[in-house]
Amino acid sequence: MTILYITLGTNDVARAKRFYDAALATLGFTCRTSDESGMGYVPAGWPEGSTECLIWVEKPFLEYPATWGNGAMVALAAASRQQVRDFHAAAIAAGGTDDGAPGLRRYHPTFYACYVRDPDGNKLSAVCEAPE
Amino acid sequence: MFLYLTLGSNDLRRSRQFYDAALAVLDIGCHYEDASEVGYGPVPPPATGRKCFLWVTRPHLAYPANWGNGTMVAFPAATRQQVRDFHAAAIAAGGSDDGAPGLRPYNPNFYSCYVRDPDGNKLSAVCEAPE
Repeated sequence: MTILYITLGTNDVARAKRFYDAALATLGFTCRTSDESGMGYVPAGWPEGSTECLIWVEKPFLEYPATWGNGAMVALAAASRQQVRDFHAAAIAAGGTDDGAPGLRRYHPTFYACYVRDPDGNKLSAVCEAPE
Repeated sequence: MFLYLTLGSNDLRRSRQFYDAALAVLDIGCHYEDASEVGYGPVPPPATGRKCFLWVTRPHLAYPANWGNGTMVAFPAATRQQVRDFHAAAIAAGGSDDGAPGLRPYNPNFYSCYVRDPDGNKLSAVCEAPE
């Protein structure tokens, strides 16, 4: 793994937890740790007992409001196109917003992706690259 | 699972100079470049599959790139020396210090540093091996 972890900022930890619990579950992620300052998520198969998480959603270290970065995005792997659609639907149902409907994108012939914003505006994508 | 990450840039040439220098010490290099983005991945690149996991890009939304407060990417380092090398290389290449190399309270061997790229995106390198 060439990334140790990623953090995203939130201004409302409880709202973010509802969103990420629902949206990331469709991609096999679970919440490993949670407190008043944020929570950490791990993909399926992550080592048991590890306190490390791959994605942290946290109140910012700098104590002014969390913002999203224009140009910043986290893309997660989906095993099937259905999983991309499930992620998109779950994200919107859990308080996210659509930022690009599930469908093929021009990056290569089987790049099937969707794009959403979390309740704080952070941009997320789910991508299935397997042919179908 | 994680697939890739993007960070915004307002000056791709400047970003390329910064990331080439800073990430080289972590054995991460540029494997793709065009007019709108540069892609970074492990050195040497994997024989099959995706070569780049980090893209530094002009934003899809056509207004200036900015950094997100709360957004950060942490890279693993093999040694504490590599953390120090990353911090020095990043600053020498136009980044700014956002936390000197040293132990942090997250666990007894969490040795990390924090820098900002020239666009303000926050990066970290972390060695968790005891020394």
